[in-house]
Amino acid sequence: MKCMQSKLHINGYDYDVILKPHENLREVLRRIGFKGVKKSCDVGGCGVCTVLLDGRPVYSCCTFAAWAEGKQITTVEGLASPEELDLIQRNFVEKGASQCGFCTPGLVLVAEALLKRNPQPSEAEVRREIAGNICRCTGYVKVVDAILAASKKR
Amino acid sequence: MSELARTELKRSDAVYLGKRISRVDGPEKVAGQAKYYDDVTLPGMLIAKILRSPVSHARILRIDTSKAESMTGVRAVLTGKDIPLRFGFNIVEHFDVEKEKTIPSEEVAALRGLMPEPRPDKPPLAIGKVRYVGDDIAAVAAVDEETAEDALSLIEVEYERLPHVFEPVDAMKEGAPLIHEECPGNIAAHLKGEWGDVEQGFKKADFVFEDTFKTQHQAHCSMETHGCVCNWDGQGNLTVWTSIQVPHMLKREIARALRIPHSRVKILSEYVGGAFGSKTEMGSYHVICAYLAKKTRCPVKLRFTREEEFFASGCRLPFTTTLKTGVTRDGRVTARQVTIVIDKGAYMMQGAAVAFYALTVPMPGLYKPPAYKFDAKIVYTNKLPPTGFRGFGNPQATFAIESQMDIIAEKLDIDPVELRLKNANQPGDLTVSGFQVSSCGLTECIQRAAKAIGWEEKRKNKLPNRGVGLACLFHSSGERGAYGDCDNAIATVKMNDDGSMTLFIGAQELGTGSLTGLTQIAAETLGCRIEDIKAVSGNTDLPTFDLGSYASRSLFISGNAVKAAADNAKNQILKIAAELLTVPAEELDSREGKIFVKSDPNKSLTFKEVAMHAYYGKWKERDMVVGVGSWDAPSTLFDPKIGKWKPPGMAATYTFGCQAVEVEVNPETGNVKVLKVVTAHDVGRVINPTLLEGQLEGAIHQGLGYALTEEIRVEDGKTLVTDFRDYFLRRASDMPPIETILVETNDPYGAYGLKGIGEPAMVPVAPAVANAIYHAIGARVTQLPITRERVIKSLEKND
Repeated sequence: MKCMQSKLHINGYDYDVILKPHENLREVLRRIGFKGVKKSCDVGGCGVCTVLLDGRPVYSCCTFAAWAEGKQITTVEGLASPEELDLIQRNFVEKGASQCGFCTPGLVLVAEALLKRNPQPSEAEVRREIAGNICRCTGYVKVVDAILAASKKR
Repeated sequence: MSELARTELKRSDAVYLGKRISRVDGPEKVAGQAKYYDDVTLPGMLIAKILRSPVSHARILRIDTSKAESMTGVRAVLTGKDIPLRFGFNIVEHFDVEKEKTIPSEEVAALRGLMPEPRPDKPPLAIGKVRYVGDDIAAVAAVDEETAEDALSLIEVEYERLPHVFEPVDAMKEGAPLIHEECPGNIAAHLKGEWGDVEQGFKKADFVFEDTFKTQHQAHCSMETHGCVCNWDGQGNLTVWTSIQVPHMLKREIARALRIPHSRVKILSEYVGGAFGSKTEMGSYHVICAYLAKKTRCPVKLRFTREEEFFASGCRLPFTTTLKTGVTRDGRVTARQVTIVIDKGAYMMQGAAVAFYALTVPMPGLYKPPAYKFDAKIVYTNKLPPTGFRGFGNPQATFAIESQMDIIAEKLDIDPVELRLKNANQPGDLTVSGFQVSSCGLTECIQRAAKAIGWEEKRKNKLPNRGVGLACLFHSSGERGAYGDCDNAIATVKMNDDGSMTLFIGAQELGTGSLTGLTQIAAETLGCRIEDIKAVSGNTDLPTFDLGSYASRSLFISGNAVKAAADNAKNQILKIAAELLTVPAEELDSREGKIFVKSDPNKSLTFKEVAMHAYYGKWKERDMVVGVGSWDAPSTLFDPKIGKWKPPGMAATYTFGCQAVEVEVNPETGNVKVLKVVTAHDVGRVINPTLLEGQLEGAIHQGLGYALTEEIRVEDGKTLVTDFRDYFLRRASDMPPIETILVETNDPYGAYGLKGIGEPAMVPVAPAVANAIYHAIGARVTQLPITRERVIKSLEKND
């Protein structure tokens, strides 16, 4: 088993990392300490491990870490601190879009990417965009509310 | 109740109650800073994996772990002989000592014959034989996940295959293979009872209906899978980070399994990534992980994969329910009789308790039949073992009751809304089992749900392939008897030296918002600013106690405990303030962080000034301001002397609601499109509308899945579902609009009038959908989930 030396650009900083063969991005990010990248299904079916690669959401459990080399990786920790939440995060809190919180980092990142690309999405567009992320708590009502409210305040 | 003088609070006076307060743990969650058990990494931590049975039923002739043990990176391997105990819900039995029961035995004796005793049937790792595909056989702790997995493949197990049995009807037949040798006929429990004269009730009826309904294995699908991290310190203390609804009960069970004092076990469960009933008991994994950590003297993490989650973490119990109901010509229910067969899979877990709840709460509760008889068999099979799930048997029972109500309505030619209104529970009602209804808004829920879905218009001028249907629910806030003659909680409030408050809560936050609701109750009661309260929970070393967050009880039970603790602390604070203001304490009050003279509000102090005086000033007593509050619901246990409950019954308060659904069905394909869901609930009193709506909306997501798509398919005893590609959860794009209606009845028992609302909205979704489908195209589907195939089959039956 041969490991690989690599450099990953995460949340604005460079990290020297050792990658195991075929290691997925989720495991590497969690090992470095980005625990906001959650772990649930392992096969790209639930979205809790979502991160942004060059601004686009990907399932980090199904992304080879090596493949992320040279790309801008954004995890939820790269957005803001709990004391200074950004607009989307603030709306998630105010609207009650987070319950158990396990799917929340992934949903927040998908919303960030959506609103950057399409600042005024329709409700249907929001629902379609977050359809790759499972939330078992909210029934999605408040998640959609939060994203639409954030889009109106931008 | 008497010692808890209820502070009446007018809505207009409330500072925090009834307001859309943002959840206190929100910022951490949206910033990805909330730490769940899997986010715990300790120096030297090992990873554990469980070897699972590939066969349904077999004797284990030999296990050879030597190759696995000698593999580089492997630190320990355990098999059944290393953990000589068996456990079940609320019970641990060591093989070398007398049974260690955890329920006071007198109470169990009182329930005997009605509610079965807990059954310790599960060894953490198989002893002698395996009973389903997925059963725990051996466990490995290794330096990393890959090594642990590789080591599992090196464990050699020799099996002697035994005949298996997968269906309860077959399992009950004479000569069927016995799954647990001590259970003849594979009957894990047989519950029987009768209240009122059922025979007479059917005689009084003009019509008697008898229908059979079947429900499926539904997966909880918490996004965070089950697991834990165990660490022993040098003093023999065990810390367990885990995802659990009942931290205090888990502490007790783990301590019993390891035979150490309860004080030596600390459960840390600050954040739980979804639970829905699947995290209400100790699992094999807790015991295995604690043993591995002890053996290796290293911290050990054991985390279920999503695949393990589907077969080893419990799921909803499948019921086959035959319901017989007598009604008069004008639509009054005269008697109800129910026979249920439950597929319990290989182990009991919470099976008996779930069945017991279904049999004693909704069945004799909803529409209060004057006579009621039940007979339920809980049957072992060589399949995955289900357990409690949001609603705790009530969705299964209500699917039968409410589907049949529409069958009755059609036969009697009465509008389904009218039939329900005629039989609706009312305040003050006493059910035949002895449950006294304190407050009840069912009638208003039915009326408002019907109106919101456009009932009259849509029934009168029916559009092709469109239909509306509704269904009601009867549930409880809390449940006495799960852990003995108690349904209680203890909370503590402490004032710090700057006047800020720390609130210690025993209830477990699962995402429902109970931590926020309890903080609101504390702030309102103390009269302090909500931002000055820090709520702490999920740590069993704190000076708190709580049976746990299940049975829609956390805000209902802990709410009263928190209120009592806050009242207690407030009295102490006012006493100190009285010295500073030189007026008697009785003349003082507090609100929004100010302590003032009632007759002259300008004469006031801040909490900080009082705290400074108490800690550093001239206050002679120098006590720390600590208010402890406890509450035990005035509910009752089953009383064998009278053969039922003394009022108010199993819970102090009962909850009601009505859901209405509109669907469009394609008669060619059987596809059901849900167009709208209205959910109207008697909530007692709203503490936080945002969080309350969140509970209802989330339950409807689970309820629609239960009704239409969700099923853990099992073939030849093997669970076919391995991940979300095989298990159909609704996505955001598949959800219909949901309208929530909150009916306030100001319950006399809940803190500030509230009721528990975690489970109720899950209960009537499936029958409401089934009734709407019937209205749309005349297909009566009596088996969940209502797949396209079943819709078409049911249509063909009509032809």
